[in-house]
Amino acid sequence: MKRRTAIRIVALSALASKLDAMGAGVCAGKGWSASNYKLRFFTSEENELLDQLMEMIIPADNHSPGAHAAQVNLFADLMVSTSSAAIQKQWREGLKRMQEQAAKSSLAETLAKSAANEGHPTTDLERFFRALKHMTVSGYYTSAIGIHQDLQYQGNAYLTAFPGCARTQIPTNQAGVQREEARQAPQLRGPRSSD
Amino acid sequence: MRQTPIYDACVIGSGAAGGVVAKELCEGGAKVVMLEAGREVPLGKFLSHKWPYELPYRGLRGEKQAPFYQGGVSTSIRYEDCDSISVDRIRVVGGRTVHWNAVVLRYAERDFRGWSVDGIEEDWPLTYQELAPYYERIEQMIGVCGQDDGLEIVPAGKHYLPPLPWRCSEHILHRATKSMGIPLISVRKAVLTALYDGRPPCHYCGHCMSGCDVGALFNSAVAMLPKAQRTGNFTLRQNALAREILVDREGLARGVSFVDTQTKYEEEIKARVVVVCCATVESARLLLNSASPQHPNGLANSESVVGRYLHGHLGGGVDIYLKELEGVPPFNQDGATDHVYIPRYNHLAGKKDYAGGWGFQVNFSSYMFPNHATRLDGYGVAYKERVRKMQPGYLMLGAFGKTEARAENCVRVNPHQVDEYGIPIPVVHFRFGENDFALWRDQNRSLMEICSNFKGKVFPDFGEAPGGFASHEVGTIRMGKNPETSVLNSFCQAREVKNLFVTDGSCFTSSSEKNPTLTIMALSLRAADYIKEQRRRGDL
Repeated sequence: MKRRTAIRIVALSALASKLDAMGAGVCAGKGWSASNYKLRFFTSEENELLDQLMEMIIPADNHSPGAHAAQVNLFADLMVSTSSAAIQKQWREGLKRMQEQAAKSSLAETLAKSAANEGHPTTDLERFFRALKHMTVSGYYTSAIGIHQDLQYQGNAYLTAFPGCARTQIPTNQAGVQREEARQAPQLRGPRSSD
Repeated sequence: MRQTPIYDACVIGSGAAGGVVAKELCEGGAKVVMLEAGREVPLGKFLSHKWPYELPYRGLRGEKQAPFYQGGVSTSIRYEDCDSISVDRIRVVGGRTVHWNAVVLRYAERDFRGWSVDGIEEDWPLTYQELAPYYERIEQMIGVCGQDDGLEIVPAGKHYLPPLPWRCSEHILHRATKSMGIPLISVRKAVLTALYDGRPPCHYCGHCMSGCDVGALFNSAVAMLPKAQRTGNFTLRQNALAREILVDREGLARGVSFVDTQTKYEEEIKARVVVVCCATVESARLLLNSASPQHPNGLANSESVVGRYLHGHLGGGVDIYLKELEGVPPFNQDGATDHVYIPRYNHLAGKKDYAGGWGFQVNFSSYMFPNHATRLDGYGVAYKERVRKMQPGYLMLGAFGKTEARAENCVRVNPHQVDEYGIPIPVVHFRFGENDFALWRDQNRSLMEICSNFKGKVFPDFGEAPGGFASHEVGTIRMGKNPETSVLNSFCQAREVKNLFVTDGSCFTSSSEKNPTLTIMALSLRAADYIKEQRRRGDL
């Protein structure tokens, strides 16, 4: 669940401690690499199903590759493997439930059914969809593919000046959305010495 | 045998408060030792610019900030009988100025006069006019961008670096607030928009909250401590976790006992003056843990006020995806996080049935991650395209509302709950009061009213009940006029222990809707001046 905006900042410290406790093993190495990643939690069957489901949630299209190419399933494995037993149980049972239902109809139908009540999930299957989608979103949009190819994020840069709003960035010619002349602050003398 | 030195002052904590005090006292010729429970993390080691995929957990588990929260600091606390709040404690040289949004606002005249203006809480023992010269000096010392907007509710200084240019979403927000008669100003931030005091200007990466890797964001470790160091009067002890303030037979502070968290050795520092700057929760904890026969109830606590009146900001906010910017080719909006600020405005329309107000910080969330992706229904190609198209229109408002300082909300210690060094940990108790609930409801109502002026998708983010404290907790060792309800005088000096000072947020009598750091630093500067003066007169 998303927490209140202003508290987002505060939560960092609590998260940091979790990292201390759980992340040591992962951080000790030379960072994370998909090529030599070995599954820690999911079985290879679960992993395959997860990969399929995640690709259905964020598929490749003519704009960018999807969750499969971004290997979001491996990110999920790392996250779940370092989560509480209750969360691990939800994932194991959720995937099992998806599998069982899909055997009766199809995976596409099962996924659609699980997503039918996204705003207010009531069944375990619906609750699992939320977790699955959340994980897919978290993994995909923090991957190189998600950030650079899909969103084409332009930031995390070292700029010499910040341009502010250029009029061309607002497509409609809205009155009032014109660049305001920033009043120049008086020249500084430099910080005052202590006495 | 080597003589143990007696320092003129021992400053505990190296953040916004401690940095100012240490620099000032050192420059005034005092020999100062600073105890910091954390270690130094050099700017070159900051992870701010790392891409999420370069980190194992993609930065989602606070990995970028983890180096600042070592030594079990996050777990050595309990919340008992508590509403939805959390407090922020850090252990690193520079304290919380190492990673922060750096919004620096002066308290207004009315913010020091809660009782006189609204009939709640107490008036501070000092006025805006008394603190104004210190605000002016501290703003020049740290470098603040912004401008004077002529608004009484956010008094301005005379020396600002050029304001941050506004983003498109901020122009659109301004159009809406203007139509409603709500002010919106260029934010005042301790972020350099030009070369200043030997520090480089901002490079607009949006990573203030992960720490600034060049020192363009005010950081006590970069902007204050080197100045103290240069005097030759400064000694920094890292990894030094204060256990107890020691007193002499008369009950005056004579030093500090601390644990070296690396060697686990216990050491003692002798000092003529002790200045506590550990931030609201830890400072109260330290005083309560410093009981002695002379101060059986904890240091400076004969009235049982230490630890009480804990409060901070209540939160709430909204994410908006503006229709006008939908589908615009992606452009770099990172900037220096907040560029504009909506100061308090609820007082402009007459008296309310509650006291206090709120302000909105704008766009301090990252532009890298699409926050709406988990909140938009659906999946598949159409969903993915929608996420992408909406992303450039992101506008975020975060409310910071006043909470009331109430005696029953407190930090306590319990000898049976200790950290790994055997030091009793803080136990926090906090409940929002009636005034807080009323303010929170009106804040949310007003927020949604502002949102009704936009075309786009609005995701309210304030939950079922208020939450806090947005890292702005204050008030546990308050200054005041009444010795029965306060610990300190207006110079942050403990009435019962004249060589003990507390200059961090815990000294606040009450809180306004404004971010507390600039006021913490101005009060620290004033306290340092006072200590220097008292030393000159031989009174300390």
